[in-house]
Amino acid sequence: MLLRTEIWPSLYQDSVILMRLAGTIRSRPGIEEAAVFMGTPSNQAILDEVGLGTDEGRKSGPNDIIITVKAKTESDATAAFEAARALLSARQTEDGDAEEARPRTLDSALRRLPNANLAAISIPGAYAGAEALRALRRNLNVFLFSDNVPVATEIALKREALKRNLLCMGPDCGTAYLNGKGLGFFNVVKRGRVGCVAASGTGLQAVASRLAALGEGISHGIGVGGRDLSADVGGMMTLASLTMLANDVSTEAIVLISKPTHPTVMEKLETILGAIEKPTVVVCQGAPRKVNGRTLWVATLDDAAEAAAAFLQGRAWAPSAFTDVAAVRSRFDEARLSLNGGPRRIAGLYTGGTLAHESHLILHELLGPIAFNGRPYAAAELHQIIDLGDDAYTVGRPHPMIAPETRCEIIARAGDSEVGVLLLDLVLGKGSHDDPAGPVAEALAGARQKAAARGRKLLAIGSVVGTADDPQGLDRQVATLAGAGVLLFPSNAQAARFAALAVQPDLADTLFGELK
Amino acid sequence: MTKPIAVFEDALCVINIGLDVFADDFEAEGIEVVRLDWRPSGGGDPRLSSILAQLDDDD
Repeated sequence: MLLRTEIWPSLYQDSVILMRLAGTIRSRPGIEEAAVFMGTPSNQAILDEVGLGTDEGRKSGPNDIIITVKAKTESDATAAFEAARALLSARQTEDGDAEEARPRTLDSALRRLPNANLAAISIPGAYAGAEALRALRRNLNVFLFSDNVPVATEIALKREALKRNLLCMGPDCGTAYLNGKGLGFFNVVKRGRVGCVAASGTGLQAVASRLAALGEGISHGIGVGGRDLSADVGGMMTLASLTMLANDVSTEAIVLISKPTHPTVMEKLETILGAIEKPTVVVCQGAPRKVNGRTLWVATLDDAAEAAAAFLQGRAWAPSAFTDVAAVRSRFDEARLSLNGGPRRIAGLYTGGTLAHESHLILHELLGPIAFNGRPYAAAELHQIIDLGDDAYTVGRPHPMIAPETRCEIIARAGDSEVGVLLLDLVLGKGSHDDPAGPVAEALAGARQKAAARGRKLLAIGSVVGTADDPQGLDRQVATLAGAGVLLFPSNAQAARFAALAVQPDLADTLFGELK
Repeated sequence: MTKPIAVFEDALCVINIGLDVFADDFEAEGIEVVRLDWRPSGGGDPRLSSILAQLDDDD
């Protein structure tokens, strides 16, 4: 194999375009691996880490594109570079007029769009803080999708935002809704009467999708980023957003999707929650269930959606292990038979981080210690949950919600492992892969064949975050997974509980008992 | 002094800095959007870029 690099100077492109270029090159004959990056210092480090760093590449700057390929022959490499060049120039011709017309500075953009009220920022994290600060100082609200923004920058940005009564959603804000319109990675839902504040993108997606299934829509979904409730950031944006939703006439119920909260922040949070005169549901993973005035603390994302919908629809609600007990009982017998005598280890392979953490907590409570992340199938004795969106699995690769390949490679290997149950999520919506179920179904079929050759069965259990109006179509994705034999549940929490039940049938008393 | 955040009442109107796919989604939703032709400032040095942002707050 040869390692070859080309530098295309002064040709800044966004990471989605670069990812498409890399995909095109990878699919060429004779190409084993390809990386296409802007030559920023952090990208240079990534290239070195994945063994694709070259002396030529190291000489490039942040405005230059580095293309490095591992090719069988010199002509394979040359042909791959040509194909990438053709793709990029086709795109540039297509966008030619628009590109020329694009403003180069925020001020010239504002002259063109004087009514602008939001800056959506998704550039590399090292530069994102500077642009967000510029935007706030021009009285724009900020949706900051970029990650790897230093915490000190986050604090400065949020202070600036609060001083100006603006929203600073993020950094690392994957999903938001303003006036019912989605931002970033989002599920297509109707505008409605539930307002959300969310420290997690997939958490907000799961709640919004479940609310949609229950006939409720979203007024606003304010993403605050995963660090907002830390001691350093002090919950600045969470607290301000809760107050905003409390004052918003279109919001009739509030859901807070929280992360573990620092005690000093918790105190402030409880004070704000106590002053809200609307039904409010809080899901904070790991925090105990409780009722505090008008605030209900629940354990899972689907409980949060169910409770909010029940409040609004005037129904009584109590948490339960499964929505459809009869269906679960019949599947339980099937699963028990399927696993009879075979391996009973669970591997949870997740694309949504919050869903992975939720399953980890549920399985831990039901089954004891569970390995989290690490090498797939490496935990010899333990069940394992992997968040494939974690930095450890995405170095030089796109997020698994966009590119299903990494997870599918791991699923395909399950047939050779000591795992008996695969626990999966599928996150649909804008931004996600256009057919995430297809590759999963294919990989699963391969894994099952391998398992069968060893006289074993592989049980697959999962849930889909999505709505009928999502571009991928919820029904179509569900049908593909069901066709591949995945036992699907209305939520991730229910899927996780069923996985526990499958490997430890004596939990039936606990889980079904809860329903009596 | 404090004033209510206007974003809840106004139609979204967006300046997109970064991924084109997001601007495409805004347009598909009928949201007015201008795409900034962004590239690293300060010669690509993040620290310098941040200092430049701090300095240009008066225009």
